[in-house]
Amino acid sequence: MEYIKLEDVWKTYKTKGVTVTPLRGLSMSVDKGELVVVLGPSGEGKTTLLRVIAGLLRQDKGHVYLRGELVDDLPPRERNVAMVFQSYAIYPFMSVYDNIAFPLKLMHRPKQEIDAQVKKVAEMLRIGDILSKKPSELSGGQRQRVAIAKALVKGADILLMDEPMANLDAIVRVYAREELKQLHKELGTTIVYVTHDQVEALSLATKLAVLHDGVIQDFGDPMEVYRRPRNTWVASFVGNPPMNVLEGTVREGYIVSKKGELKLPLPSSYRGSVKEGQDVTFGFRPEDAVVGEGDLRGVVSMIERVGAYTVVHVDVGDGTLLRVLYPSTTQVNRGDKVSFTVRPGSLVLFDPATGKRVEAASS
Amino acid sequence: MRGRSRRLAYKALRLGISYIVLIVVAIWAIMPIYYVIMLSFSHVTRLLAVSIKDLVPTQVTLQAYRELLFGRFIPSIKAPDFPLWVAHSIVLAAATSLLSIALAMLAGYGLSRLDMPAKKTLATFTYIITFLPVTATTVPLYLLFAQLRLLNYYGLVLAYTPGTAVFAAFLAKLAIDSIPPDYEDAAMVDGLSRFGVFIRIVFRMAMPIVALTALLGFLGAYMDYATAYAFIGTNSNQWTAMLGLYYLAGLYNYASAPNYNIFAAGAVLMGIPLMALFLVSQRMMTRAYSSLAGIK
Repeated sequence: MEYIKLEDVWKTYKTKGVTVTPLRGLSMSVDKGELVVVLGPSGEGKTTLLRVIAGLLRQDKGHVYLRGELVDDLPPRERNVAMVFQSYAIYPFMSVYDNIAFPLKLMHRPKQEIDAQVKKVAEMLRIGDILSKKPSELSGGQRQRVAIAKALVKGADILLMDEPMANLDAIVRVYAREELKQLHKELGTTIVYVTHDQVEALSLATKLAVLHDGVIQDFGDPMEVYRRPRNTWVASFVGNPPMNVLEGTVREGYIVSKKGELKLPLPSSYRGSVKEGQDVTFGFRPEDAVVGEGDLRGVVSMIERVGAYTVVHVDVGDGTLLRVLYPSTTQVNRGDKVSFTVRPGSLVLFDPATGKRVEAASS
Repeated sequence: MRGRSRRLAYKALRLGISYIVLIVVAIWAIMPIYYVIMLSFSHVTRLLAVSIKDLVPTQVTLQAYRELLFGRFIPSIKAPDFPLWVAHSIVLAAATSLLSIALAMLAGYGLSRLDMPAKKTLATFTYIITFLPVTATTVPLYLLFAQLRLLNYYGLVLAYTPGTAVFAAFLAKLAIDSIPPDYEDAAMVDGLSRFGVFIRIVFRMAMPIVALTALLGFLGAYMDYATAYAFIGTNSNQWTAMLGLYYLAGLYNYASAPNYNIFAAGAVLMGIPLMALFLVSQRMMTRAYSSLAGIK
């Protein structure tokens, strides 16, 4: 059931004399129990989106539905949502215990119930031993867990998270991600999680939403979005390193790149959807290039050793650079001549005029 | 070897000079207070009779205090006058203080958080207004409040409050500007209304400014003579301690010079609530700062 639904939401505001419209007719719907990650570049409206759902901001046009009900006119405290902020927003003048208990105290719950709930949530997040401390005495990871505990203690079934891991060390982040996934599995909360970190998005999400230009560009299973992006922008944004995207034309069962240096066989699944002579934009992921065999040629121009693998930038003639992945153990140097081919099933075609993906006639 | 001892000599000299300067300045600062306290415990009634000898008292007497606390200066009042006056002062100052806090915090919150046109102009205007000397407002206030028929105790509270509140509102705006809005957002999601957030979260986090406003408001009302005299000078059963003391100093004994020991005793007694207030607000401010420290 559509647990969270945004319908044609617009939001404009002025900061320092400049008018910005981060949300432009955005529509999105989240099913119960999903962990939806909203991925997008910094400053493009992710936080605005979250605040509109929470009720901290009122949208100019469009509607927000929570649990099937219209909540446009409800203030945040009546929407029964919980939120974790990037800065954690833990009240510095209260102890950890009081911070976590705060939402329940506001609901005037009896003292024993509050105590039991706080202890339970603290146990779940393994912060039971720091309940009497003040926030200024905690580490970043501990503060983050207090913020999450505070959000969970109400028992709200919708959790909104605004880049909560951005301020953590890289190693702590990995563990925090795992814990969040576990928590999600145990509690079944519907989570909307906002981030600009690709890795985080792909590993956490049960559904991925890509936000750009004020609308959701793509929405679906993370791996689906990764392998078959809905348009060229998503193709060149999602994934690190991003997809190789080039212009080309269909000729005699092949896709020939505009500059003529690449010729790839047209996948059979697309045979029915494109015509001879049609211009297409096509893309393939760096890991889908098979190096060492094949009739595509190029010269190595740049090498990035990331550790687990190596990203090699190959000049295929006329300055067009493609990225391919090498195993980290393989020796490769600038100026090497390489030959490669592309796995046929991994090619994605787009309409050059609209940027939208062309559907295959048969899969 | 000689260099080392010379360096030590310089160090000792510098230290010595600093200490001497500090002691001199300290004496210069404390001397008036010491003088007044000594005077309040002595027999001396006339200023001209005081000499250096009196700085080290030979006799300590509570005569001045006795006269002050139990004497009846105004024939029409039944009870001892001075305690009544002090009570008036404290109530007046406390009321001004509380009202100023309410106004200043509300205005400061609005100036900081609300999105209104010409906000910056309003804030700057607020700031500039406080440059006007307070005494210049006495006559206009008198005329205004005379028209409103409020030339009394309550009118006085209303007259004092804006003086403090305006300046404090600007300070409150600055203080609230420095509080990240995330705390308020989190509190609203937690279940507070915007007003609830204002009272329970913002007030606590802007505690130093609240303490400062309380102090300024209290001080301003407590120490004022001009406006108080204009408003309630004729109504001696409503007098504040300042009015009463000046009366004693100048008017009690027409024949001779003022009874300065009584005046001094009055000053000491008036200073006690002030001292208490300073200590309390100081503690509030330091406690607030220490709890906010350490947050990245």
